[in-house]
Order: sequence, then C-alpha cells, then structure tokens
Amino acid sequence: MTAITQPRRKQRRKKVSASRTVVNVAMIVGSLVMAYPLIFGLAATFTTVEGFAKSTFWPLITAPTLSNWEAIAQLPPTVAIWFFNTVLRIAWYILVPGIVAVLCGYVFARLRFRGRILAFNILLSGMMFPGIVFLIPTYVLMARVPFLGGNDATGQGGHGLINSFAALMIAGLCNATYIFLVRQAIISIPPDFEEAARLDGAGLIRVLWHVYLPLLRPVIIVMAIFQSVAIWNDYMWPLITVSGNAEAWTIGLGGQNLMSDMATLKAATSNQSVLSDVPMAFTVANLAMLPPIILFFFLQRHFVKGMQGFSLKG
Amino acid sequence: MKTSTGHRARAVRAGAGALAASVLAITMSGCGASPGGTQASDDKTLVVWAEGTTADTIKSDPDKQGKYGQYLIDTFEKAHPGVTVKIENHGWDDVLRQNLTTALLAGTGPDIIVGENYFQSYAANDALVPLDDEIKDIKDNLIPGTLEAGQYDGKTYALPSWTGVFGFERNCTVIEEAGLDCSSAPATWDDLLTQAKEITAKGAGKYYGYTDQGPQGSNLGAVFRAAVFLNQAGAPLATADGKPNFNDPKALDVYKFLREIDKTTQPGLNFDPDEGKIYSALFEGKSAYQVAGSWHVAWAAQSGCTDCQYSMVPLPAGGTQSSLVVGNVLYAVLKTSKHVDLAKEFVKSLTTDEAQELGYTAIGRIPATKSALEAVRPTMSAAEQPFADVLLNADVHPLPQWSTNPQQVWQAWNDAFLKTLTTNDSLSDIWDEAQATAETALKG
Amino acid sequence: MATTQQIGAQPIGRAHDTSHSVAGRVKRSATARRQRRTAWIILVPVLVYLGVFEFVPVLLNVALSLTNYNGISASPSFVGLGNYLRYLQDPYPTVMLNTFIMAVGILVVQTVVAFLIALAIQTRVIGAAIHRAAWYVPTLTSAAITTQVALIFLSPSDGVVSRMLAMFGQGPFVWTTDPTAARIILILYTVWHGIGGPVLLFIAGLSSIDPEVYEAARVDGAVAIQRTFYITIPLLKPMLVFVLITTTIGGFQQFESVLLMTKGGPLNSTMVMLLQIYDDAFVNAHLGLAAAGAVILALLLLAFSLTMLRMMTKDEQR
Repeated sequence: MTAITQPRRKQRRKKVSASRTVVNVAMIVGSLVMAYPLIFGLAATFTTVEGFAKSTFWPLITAPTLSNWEAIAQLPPTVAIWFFNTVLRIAWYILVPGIVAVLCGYVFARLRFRGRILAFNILLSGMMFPGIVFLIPTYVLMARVPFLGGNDATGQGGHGLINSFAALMIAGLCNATYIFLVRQAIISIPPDFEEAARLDGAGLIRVLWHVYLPLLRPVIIVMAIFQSVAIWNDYMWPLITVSGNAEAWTIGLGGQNLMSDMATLKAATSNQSVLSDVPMAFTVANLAMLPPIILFFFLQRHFVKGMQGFSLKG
Repeated sequence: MKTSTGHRARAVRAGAGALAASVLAITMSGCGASPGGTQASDDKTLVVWAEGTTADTIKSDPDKQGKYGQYLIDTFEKAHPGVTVKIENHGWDDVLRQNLTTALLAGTGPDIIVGENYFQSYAANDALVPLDDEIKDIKDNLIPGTLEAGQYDGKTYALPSWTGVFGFERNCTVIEEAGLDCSSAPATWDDLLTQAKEITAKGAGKYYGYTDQGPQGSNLGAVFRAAVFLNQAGAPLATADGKPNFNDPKALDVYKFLREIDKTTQPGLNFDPDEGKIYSALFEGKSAYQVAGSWHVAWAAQSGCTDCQYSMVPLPAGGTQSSLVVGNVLYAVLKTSKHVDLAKEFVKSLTTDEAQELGYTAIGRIPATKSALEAVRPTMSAAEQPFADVLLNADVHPLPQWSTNPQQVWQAWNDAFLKTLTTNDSLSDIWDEAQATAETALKG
Repeated sequence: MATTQQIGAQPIGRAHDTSHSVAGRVKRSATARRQRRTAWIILVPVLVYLGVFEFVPVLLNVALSLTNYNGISASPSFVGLGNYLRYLQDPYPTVMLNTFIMAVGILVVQTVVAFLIALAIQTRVIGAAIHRAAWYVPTLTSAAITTQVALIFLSPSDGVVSRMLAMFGQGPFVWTTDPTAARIILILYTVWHGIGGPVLLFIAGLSSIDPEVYEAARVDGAVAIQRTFYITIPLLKPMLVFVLITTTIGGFQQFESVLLMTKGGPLNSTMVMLLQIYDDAFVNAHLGLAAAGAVILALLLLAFSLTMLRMMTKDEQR
C-alpha cells in the first residue's frame, strides 16, 4: 500500500459506510414491515376475544393469557395421523418431482435433439393454465380408474381412488416450474465441469451426481422449501378427494376444519355457538405455520452452506 | 414447550400407529376393498353431505354439539337395519358448490346434499327429487319462509334442519346516555331515524345512532339487511316470478331512508370488510341500533353487552311486519342417488320434533317447525323471544335465488348500493342502471 | 419461444469444432444419437405423465369451453365460439383489464424489490440471515390469517392508517369504496405475500456468480452501480427470466387475496379473471363459460410471457 493509494481508499471506505448505513437501516425497516403481520398474529394468540376486539395495530394484550394454547393441548389424537400423512406426502413430493426436475432440467439445458424446443414449449404452456382447469379432470381421472375402488373394467360404478390416500400421492409429480428452474440454473453453470468429468469417463448418472448436484444445491433446497410449504398448506385437493376418509386427511385439511370447529366450540355459551373466536383461530393457524417455518430455518443453514460451497471453486 | 420421555413415547406410539394406519390405507385403497367389487352405495350406505358443525362435532364434541348429528345417525339406522349413514362435511358456499360440481361430474356424488341458496337452480335442472309426497302430513307444521328456498315451480325439493331470522337490536346503555327512552324499540322508521340522528348528535363521536352495513364485492351481508326493509315496504328484491325489482318506486323510498340513516353510522365502519367488526360496535357501546340476526343474542352476551335488547324491526308507514330467514339450512335428495326412498325418509327425519328440538338444545339453532319452536320457546331467553315472534308471526322469506348469473346480479345490486351510500346521485338513475345490468345478467 | 441460448451457457459437445472432417461428422452423429436417446429415455415417461395429467385436462377444458354446460346435470349442447364471444361483452373486458393492471403492478413491484433485497442480503448487510427469514416467512403463512391481520390494520373505522389520519384531522381511510386504493392495497398485499420466493431465488442466483468476476471489474475501476448493471444483471439473466415468468403467471392468477379481502369490489374494480372464472363455474352455473375464460387467461398469459421473453433475449443471437 503506497501513500498515494491510501487517502483514496480511506475516502472510498467512508462513502461505502454511508451508503451501507442507509442500506442497513432500510433493510431493518423493510424486514420489520414484512415480519409485522406475523408477529401480530402470534401476539394475538395470547389475547382473549374481548381483548382482541379492541386491537388496532397491536393486539390489545391487557392480560396475556395462555388459554388458547391450553385448549390446543387438548387436540384430538387424529392430529398425529394428519401430521404423519402430511410428512409422508412432503417427502414423496420433494423426492419425485425433484428427481424429475433435475433429469429433465439437464435434458433441456444441455442436450440437443430434434423436438427439443417444441417439447420445452409444450412444457411451459402447461404452466399458463390456471390450476382450476386441472382440478376437475384430475378428480374425474382418479374416480374412474378401472379396477380400483369398486370400479369395473371401464371405470364405472365405484369411486376409484377417491377417499384413499393414494389420491394424495399421484398428481403433480412432474412439475414444469421446477424443470424450468433447474434448466435455468444449469444454463448458468459453465459446461467445463461436465466436460472434465466426461473426459474422465463419467456416464450421465455420475455426471449428475458428482458435478451438478453439488452446484444445484441452493436451487434444490429452494425447491424443497417450496414443495414442503405447498404440500403442508394444501387444502383444496385433500378437501375434494379425501374428505370422506378421516384417516387420509392431511394437516392442511384437518387443520382448517379444526380451526373453524375450535373457534365455534370455544365461543359457545349456554347452548349457542357463536361467530368465530379469532384468537383461537389464530392459535390453530399459528400451529399450522410453525412446522414450515421451523423447516425453513433448518434448511436455511444448508442453503447457506450450499452457496458458500460454490464460491470456493476456482 | 417441555419434552419428557412420556410425551416422546406417546408421540412415537402415535407415529407408529399412524404408520400402520397409512400403510393399511394405501394397500386397501389400491386393492379396491369393497367386498364383491360392487359399488359402495349398494351396501346400503347413505352418504349425507351435511352442514359443517353438524358433521364435525360428531367426532370433535360428542357430548354437546355432536349429539345432534349422532342422533340423526342413530335413529335412522335403528329404523332401517342394515343401512349405514355417513355424515360428511364438504365445505360451505362456493367451496361446497365446487366439491359438489366436481363430484357430480365424476359420478361420486352423495345421496343427500345441503345448502341454503342454490337448490332452485338444481331443481330447475332436474337434479333433485321432489319431496311433496313425503311432506303432505307435515307441510302445515313447517314455518313457510323456511321452505321457500327449496321450492321451485310449485314443488318442494328440500327440508330445513333449522333456521335463523333477522330482528332488531338496541343497546340501552347508549340510548339512555343520550337521554332517550329504551323501554321499547322505535316503532316506525321515522322514529328510528329521528332517534338515530339525535343519538349521533349527542354522541359527538363517542357513539352513534345506527349501524348500517355497506356492500362488499358480491357479498350478501349488506343486501340481507337491506332486504328486511325492502320487504317491509312491499318492494321485495324480486317479483313473484323471479325477475329483479330493483327500481320499484317503493324501493326508492327505502333507499332514501337507508341513505339518511347511513349518515348516523360511525364513518368508515359501514365499509369495513370485517362483518364481525361492524356489528360488534353496538356491543361495545359505540352504536345504539342495528338489524340483528338471531345469533346476535349469544354474541352480544359473550362480547360483554349487559344491556342489549331485542325486538321486531321498526316499520315504515303502511308497511307490513316482514323479515328474512338466514342461516336456513336445507337438505335435498339428488336424483343420482341409488337409494332415493331411503334418502327421502332421512331428509324427512330432520323435521321431527325430536330432531328440531335437539338442533336447538345441542347447537343452538332455531327450529324450523312450528311445533318444535313452540316447544323450545319457554326455554329460550327473553332476548331470544322476539326472534321466535318474528318467525311465527311475521311475513318471512328467504333472499331471492336468481335463475342465472347470481353473482353478477348481486354485484349489480351491491354497486348500486355503494353509489347510494357514497354519492348524492339521483336514486332513480342509480337503481335504473342496476335494474338494467341485472336484467342483462339474467338473460344468461 | 424460449431458446437455449443464454449468456454463458453452452450445450455440451460443441466445445470442439470437428464438423468438417469425416471423423468429425461420424463423431457428431454418434454424439447426437446418444444425446437423442438419453433425452427421449428421460422425457418420454415425463411427457406421458404430463399428457395424462395436463394435456388431457387442457383438451377437456377446451372442449368444455365450446359447450354451454352448467355443471349441474343434463347434457350440454355445442355452442361453438359463443362463450368466447360472450367474453367480449360486459363485464368481462373490465375483468380482463383489472387482471392485467394488477398483474403488471405485482410484477414490477415484486421483481424490482426482490432483486434489491437479494442484492442487499448478498452484499453482507448486518444480520443477513434474519433479513432473509423475515422476507421469506410471509410466503409460509396462510392467506387466511394474514388477510385478517391486513384487514384489521387497514380497517376503515379504527385501523392504524385511519387513526393516524385522524391525528391530522383527516377523515378515515375508507379504501373499500375507492377502486384505485383497493387495487393498490391488493397489489401490496400480494407482493408482501409472494416476494419471499423471488428473494430466495435471486439469492441463489447471485450466489452462483463467481466473485472473481467482480474483483476483475473492481480492479478495472467499475463502481457498484456499473457492476450491478453490467455484470450482475446479465449473469443473473436465467434466474431473472424464471422469476419474471413465474411472477407473471402468479400475478395473472391472483385469487385468494381478492377473495378474502375485497370479493371483487368496489364497483367491480378488483374482480380478476380467476375469481370471475371461479364464480362462473360454481356460482353462476356456467361451467362452459368458465372453461372459455380459462383458455383466454392462458392465451393472455402466453402472449404476455412470450413478449417478455422476446424482449429479454432479443440481444442474443445464436
């Protein structure tokens, strides 16, 4: 460091710290705004109905109460089944769509073959249709599967896979969004890594496992987080397909029903059930939000490790 | 949260149990477990899509609210050995409609469906089984307004499990603080308007004279309450043959009244998207008068209102005592059912005195039959009596069901009501436009 | 539509140009055959699956859109393009306009803010992990609670904003009667709820940029803004394209927030296509019309995404 460069560096450091302070302050404000509704929702679980009714920008906690959480402790044992079903679904829906996404993402990013662009465009155009389009036909498909669930050879008569757990495990295994995501991620990876591995004689599986998977770690973790949350919160599909079979319920479905039941239960006075007990509803909802949040914090660490891992490469 | 070996062991056992259950469920489903491979319904199972509380509380609150659903199952199964009754909750409003449409398309529909305001179009499309034979002997016992939403073209297609109605509510603490007499409710609209203005003036921002609910999107909250006044003035929302009647000259008088009285509502409250908050203002002593559903009694008590009183709704000059049924849950039989006769009997069993009275004692809903209502009346609190009065003595009707595009028709009404309350435009202009929009929407 | 030509990406097997020798041609066709085989081995099962679960439903939907099926019973009859023509009449043009306005609003705000936040987090602001969590956790929540909280906060009668206005002697903030205010609030809510995903994705994308590239630029004298525009954004392009397209799709398919907060009001200003389609299908008993709406929505989305993609990749010819 010569004397000539020193003053310039000092000047730059001062400018950096000024803009850095602005950024830091802005981020703190921004993050507070983002987190505010959730903190509000959590605080609301410690209020009573009357206390909450008076709340404005902070749930009025005149006397914080644990009554909502105590009621939660008396959850019916079926919640364990819902929890297990949901965890099973999450594991399945991370594994299968994940594998499909990596394989297909690689195909569309690296391989050349006739029909590539057409296939990719078909894939993408599926994403343009709103989910409601797939709801009814997929349901009909599952209800009219031949030979299952009381159906005859043409699929008539019974109820197919409806009300069975299988109905929750079959749809949505090839997710165009994730294929698209992995493809974009692979595109930004220089081809040199793979070519080096190929020159060493590696086949496709080895290339994917040793070269791409480590580099795709942040993206895969993001996919895992997205999928976990989507399956955990999935309400509409279980509602339509397995409402009639309590053993196949998921947390999304059971939690929603529980929320409205508990809200009306707790507010019942004498013989009448009344409108919703909002703090109670918030408590059940918070409970439903906790696992995804915990999972996120857990995965975040791997997420960061994945990112640091890459920057070490030359 | 504390963790102890006890908790953990229990959790592990629960997990293992759940694992076994899931494995069982998956393998059974894959093998088509119905014996003999015949359709499930042939095993004499009656599938009932029921109202949420009825269905859920069977498992979640068997000692209190669940008694109602359990009673229905037990009595019917006893009377029909070999028949299993399954009561399921598939949502309400548009979620219920979505599930029903999907199931009907796939052929997995139930035998009996529940609803409040869509049966007329199903009947018009020949999807429901007429129940007139079943109800010949009980028809006179049913409160007329409770049947109407399930009637089409002179036939009855659905029966009510219970009902609710609109009355009038006042907070005496507020009224007396403003120096007015609270021993009885205002008898006429003029009285109400005068009092509301006076209370608002005396309140000076601390309390207001009346709470009016403004429209929101295509929601029905505002139109329900406005319809009470419209019915009283003899200007119902629909004519006898289901055509919109939005710009009836008598209706314009009602809108003029509503426009006036809306000014005595706390600013902003009438357009709050949270309906609960709108009506709680009275419980908290911030408002004096409002139209109240029959569930307000318990709600007010629970919110700490010590001096909330109830009555019939004030009348306009030359008006007739009218109200609307709300929360009027109906059950109908689908034509696609494989057990039509059994289903018809089940629906009829909802109207027995025992069932109707149990609906009140277990879940707190008002019976829809005259005999049951009279029977529970002595046990009803003084606050609830006016609602029973309205049901038995007033001219009670449901909200009209438009033959097509109901969402757009209601949207037109809501938009016009919004303009009524927020602008000073000519009422005939506003409502002529709404009438035209509604008529176009109804052309399909 | 999409091309595989993005900056920095190369398909495997093009590294050595052996195209002009016989050996080269043989090697090329062997490579090409191998690639084709691999590709189809992987893609065929996937396309079959998608064929059953996506293609067939879409076809059914198009077929449905040509009928007047009401979703209750009875057999539908063929009405050709009648449903599509109906979409040219009131109130559908307004609905499409609403959808477009709000989708663009969401797209712009969400993408720009997500990018800035990701940038800030990546350049090591204090407590980056906490910020990252704060910006992502809203996506994990259920719309049921968060819309409730938002409605309390924004309550016209005694919400925070109204109270603050009251302190300055102004009237309450009655956004539920003002179309523009209602739209802005919905846009802000949707962005709040959905921005977590793009933030994480941008962070993932930024993390894959080799820091030596920045060093080289810094040595050359580039300042922060120049580095952002000439290095970061171009290198982030694949991820940017993904975020833009998925945010657009999400924005055009806005549903839950409108359902829970304004139900299409006031004065039909926030009635978006998906809500109208849903109402048409299950409330108005016009399943055929709803199906047509879905097709129109998909076409609008396709057109919008195509245009966007073309704009983003027009400077890359290969």
